[in-house]
Amino acid sequence: MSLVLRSRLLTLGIPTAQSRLLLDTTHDIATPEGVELKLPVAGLAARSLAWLIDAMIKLIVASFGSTAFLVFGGAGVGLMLLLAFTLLWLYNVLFEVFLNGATPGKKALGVRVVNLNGTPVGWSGSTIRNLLRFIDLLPGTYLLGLLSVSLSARFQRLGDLAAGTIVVYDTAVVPPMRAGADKPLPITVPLSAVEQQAIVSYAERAPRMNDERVAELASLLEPVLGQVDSDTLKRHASWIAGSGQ
Amino acid sequence: MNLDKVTAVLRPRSPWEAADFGVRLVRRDAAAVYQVWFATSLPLLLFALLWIYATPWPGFAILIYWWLEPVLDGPILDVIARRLFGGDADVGKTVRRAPGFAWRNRLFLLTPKRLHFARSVAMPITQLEQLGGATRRQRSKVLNAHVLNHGMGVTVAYHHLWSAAYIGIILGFLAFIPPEYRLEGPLDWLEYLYESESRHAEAANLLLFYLAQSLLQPWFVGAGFGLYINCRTRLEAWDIELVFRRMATKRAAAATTAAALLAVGLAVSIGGSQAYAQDDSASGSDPGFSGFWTSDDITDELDAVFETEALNTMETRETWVRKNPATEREASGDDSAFRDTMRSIGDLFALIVEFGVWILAALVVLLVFLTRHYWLPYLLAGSPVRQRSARVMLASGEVRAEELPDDIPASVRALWQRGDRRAALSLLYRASVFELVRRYGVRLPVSATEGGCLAAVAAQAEAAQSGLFRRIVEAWVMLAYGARVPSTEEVESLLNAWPEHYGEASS
Repeated sequence: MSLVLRSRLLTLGIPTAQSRLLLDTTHDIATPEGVELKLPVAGLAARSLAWLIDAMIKLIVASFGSTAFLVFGGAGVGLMLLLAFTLLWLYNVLFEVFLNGATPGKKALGVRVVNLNGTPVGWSGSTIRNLLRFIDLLPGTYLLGLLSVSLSARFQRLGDLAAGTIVVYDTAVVPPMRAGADKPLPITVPLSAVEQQAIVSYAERAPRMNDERVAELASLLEPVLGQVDSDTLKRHASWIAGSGQ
Repeated sequence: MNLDKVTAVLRPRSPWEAADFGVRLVRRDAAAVYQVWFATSLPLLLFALLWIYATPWPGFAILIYWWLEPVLDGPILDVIARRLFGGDADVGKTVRRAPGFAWRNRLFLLTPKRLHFARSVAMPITQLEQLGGATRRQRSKVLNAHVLNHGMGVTVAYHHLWSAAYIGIILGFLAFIPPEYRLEGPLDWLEYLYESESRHAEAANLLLFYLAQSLLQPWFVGAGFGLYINCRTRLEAWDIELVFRRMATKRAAAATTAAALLAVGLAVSIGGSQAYAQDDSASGSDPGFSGFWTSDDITDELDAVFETEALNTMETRETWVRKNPATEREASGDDSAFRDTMRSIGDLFALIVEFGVWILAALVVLLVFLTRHYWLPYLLAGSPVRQRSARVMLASGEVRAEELPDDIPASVRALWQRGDRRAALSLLYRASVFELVRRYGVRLPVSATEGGCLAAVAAQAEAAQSGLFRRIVEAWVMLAYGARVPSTEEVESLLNAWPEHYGEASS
């Protein structure tokens, strides 16, 4: 287990020479420790659908709330106004600050707000981006926000640009290769971390590919590992992942 | 298709990220994409406009234009697919082939598949893979199992975004219509757009439709293409193929170099491998490079780690818990009584809130009164008063107003005569800096050194002050760092000049 972790850490964020020039969907952050974090930035589709869900939630809460408050008579109207204020100005801020950057809609779509440096969004960041929501909303249907997200490099609307925040996908934690799947077989050729990761990924994803493709991929490695079929390659993967018995 | 020349990072992405990937492809080649878009869409728009003005059924123009929309998707798809796989996107060639793409995608033009829920994901199959009939159906089945949901999501998002853009553009126009051009009310132009029978209104509506579509059609095509590419990357492990191919070519290159060096290398490697063999035998417990870790090797160590104190901290917390859980209150049967109760609760709440507001107001007034010494001078002076800081940060430490004696020259003189020369000049220096900041508003860099102060003062103060300050600093620096004691006459002259520039009289 610890070795799997280590091999995963080794391959984490080590860019190949060409990867810098290639188009990708991540916002890269270099930490002082020399680790490169790659945050997958979320674009229009996920964000607009998240907004739609939030809008529906607000609508439902507002209509139920105002009906319920009517029993209080005149004071109920005041409560209704307070509720409207909360939904309009505080809903996003409170959820983003206390629920790790995600309103319920964002949670449903698997996205959340973070600062540009990858840290959780705080009071000031969230407040700024949600106050400026009313600029993005102009001229009434988020047209400015749409343009800003489409044109900015990290899919930021104007509020995000002002607050220095981005919306990223929650990266799922990949479960490590199942242990003891194949009897480990050592590799005697030195391989880079990226190459090792590719072999492990091969073993992990082989069950979901068709057999011809699996065999074809294995045959590509003939100049490196000699005659290998897919089973040998999976055993090599077991050895790299360190999960064998 | 040549994977080696691919111009973007291919890896399995989450579906929404894959859609964004396609959108980024569109954005990277936005120039080519939009050239192609306008070259193909403007003729179609022109045709629809002609239809409005030349036929007796102007109302059908938008419907016809909308139905032909897939014709415009093909060329965009062609541009981004070519560029992704390292080809050059020739705008002219793509535009000329637009009718060919339309024919290949005829399924989405001539059949009910026009209303396909995830057209932008399905189109790469007919256009790029050029499949039709049973093969296409089989292929779609495979892809749909993976991406249909998100393809439909992209379509839903597209239609919402399109509507938002369309309405937004209309609202934008309305906001910029000057009042004198308003017909009757603020919504009169909308009425004109939708209610009137005029052909101009139809044409205007078509143009608005077209503007919104121009914003989002490339987005829609790109998002679908991104989902499609991601699906194939997953199913066919393109990313793994890329790495494997590179490994093979790297080894091939290394092999030719190695052959040239074989004669030299052989001798070295024999010696080297013997050395490694000895190393291996020396450390028995470590299986090293030749073997692999078994679970037996690490279980003991893991157990030891799990037993360390850091992983076994326990903590006891005591809290109060109710002995008997609260019994539920009985619900009131009488409806009107219930309503009255709620109403009176509401009234009570309103009373509290009302008083709360007054209490809050009183608190604010009290706060304003208590802080009067902060804001009153501003009101009385009529103009902003100069900020007089009570302390100054220097490299050697902080200088506070209360630490400085009232009569600086007298104190310095006393210290000097007592023989405490360092303290005397230090006091003089610090007092001078402090007065310069306080009286003349000189702004110093934080934690300024003597040199820093001197530069700041020379730049900001008048010549008389900065001249005296230079002499004081020189005297202090010589004593502090050079251990050269200035003469008593020199110090006297500094002290005599001091009150004139820095003393109470000068302000």
